[in-house]
Amino acid sequence: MSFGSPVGTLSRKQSAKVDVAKKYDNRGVPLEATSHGAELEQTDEMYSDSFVNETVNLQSGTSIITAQTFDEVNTDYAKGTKTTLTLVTATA
Amino acid sequence: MAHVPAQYIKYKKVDFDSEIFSCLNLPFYIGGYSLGIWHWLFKDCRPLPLEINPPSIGVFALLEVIDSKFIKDGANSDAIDFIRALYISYYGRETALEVREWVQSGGKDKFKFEDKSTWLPWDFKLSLFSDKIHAEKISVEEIVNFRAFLIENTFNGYEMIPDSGQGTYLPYLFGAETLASVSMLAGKLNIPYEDVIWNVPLCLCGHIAACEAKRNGVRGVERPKDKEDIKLQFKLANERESKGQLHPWQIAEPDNANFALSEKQIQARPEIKKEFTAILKAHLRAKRAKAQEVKHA
Repeated sequence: MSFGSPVGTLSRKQSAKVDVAKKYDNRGVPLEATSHGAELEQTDEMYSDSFVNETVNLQSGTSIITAQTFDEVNTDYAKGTKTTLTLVTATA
Repeated sequence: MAHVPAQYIKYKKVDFDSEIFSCLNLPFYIGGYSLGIWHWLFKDCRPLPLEINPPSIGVFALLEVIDSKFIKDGANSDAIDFIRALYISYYGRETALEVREWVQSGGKDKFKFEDKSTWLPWDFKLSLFSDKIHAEKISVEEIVNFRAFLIENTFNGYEMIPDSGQGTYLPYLFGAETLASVSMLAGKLNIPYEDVIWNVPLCLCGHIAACEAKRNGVRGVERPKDKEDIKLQFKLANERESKGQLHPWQIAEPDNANFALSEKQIQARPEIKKEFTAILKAHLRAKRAKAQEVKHA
């Protein structure tokens, strides 16, 4: 048995972010903070048989495609990435 | 148009053990050398097997110069193609001058197996070599294994480096450009460049190049995916799209916006939207329940 990671281990880029509103006292000392506007930006690597630039469409809703890449080479199948920004609701 | 997430495609099958043995410069054994008088006295004694080191870039450059059919199209190659490849792999640097002479004298076009007048000195030498090693006793299985030893793991490291897609004109795969890029390892390994060309397994050179690419920030340096599986997954994904069916990744991760329903899926079967929403709701409920569980644990 080898020592490496098992086949199918997921390699993915995720970046979660939240905005923070702070409440200060009259001396400028922060007293309390509230988070809002949680968002998750996720990039997935995909093989595609053609490329349609979805970022140029006027988008609205809770998910927005923010970036796309597409690499076509003459020796391999075309591969690209798709990055979507999603507004996240609390899970707990 | 179909997208298939990379994690749903299998990696190319690699014989990792053999790859390690190649990087460790462990030889492959095939055929045998005549033991001279001992062989004559004891005809049953086993001739010494030939010890073939994992191929270096120099060996591949010579094989390319002779336009080795054994490498290019193993199934349609003949005995002499095999002997040439075996001889070059066995002698390496020692046969380089003979190969040059043979190529420059037009050996590639002149040689006709049945007409000895077309044979050049190297062809006669190959014939002697073939007698000496008892090539007639080498089984087809051994030949297949030898070919696999030469090509199967040798390029694994290079295959990890993503193709830049520049489409440069490269008439010889193991030509001067490749020899130069492999020779650059001499500085890194602190050994003479001749050693890199003839003594360092090309398999190891490829992995060093992959490590360098990774260190230089090249993205996507990893084991390659299985091209046959990519083809199959595209076929299956396109079939599902035209039938208006959900993809496995949409069922597994319905909350991943990158895996949203495509226009084609919706057009093929508008009810798919309802089905997808139900899966998404169930998925979010399960996620919330799990988060609550973690919170209360």
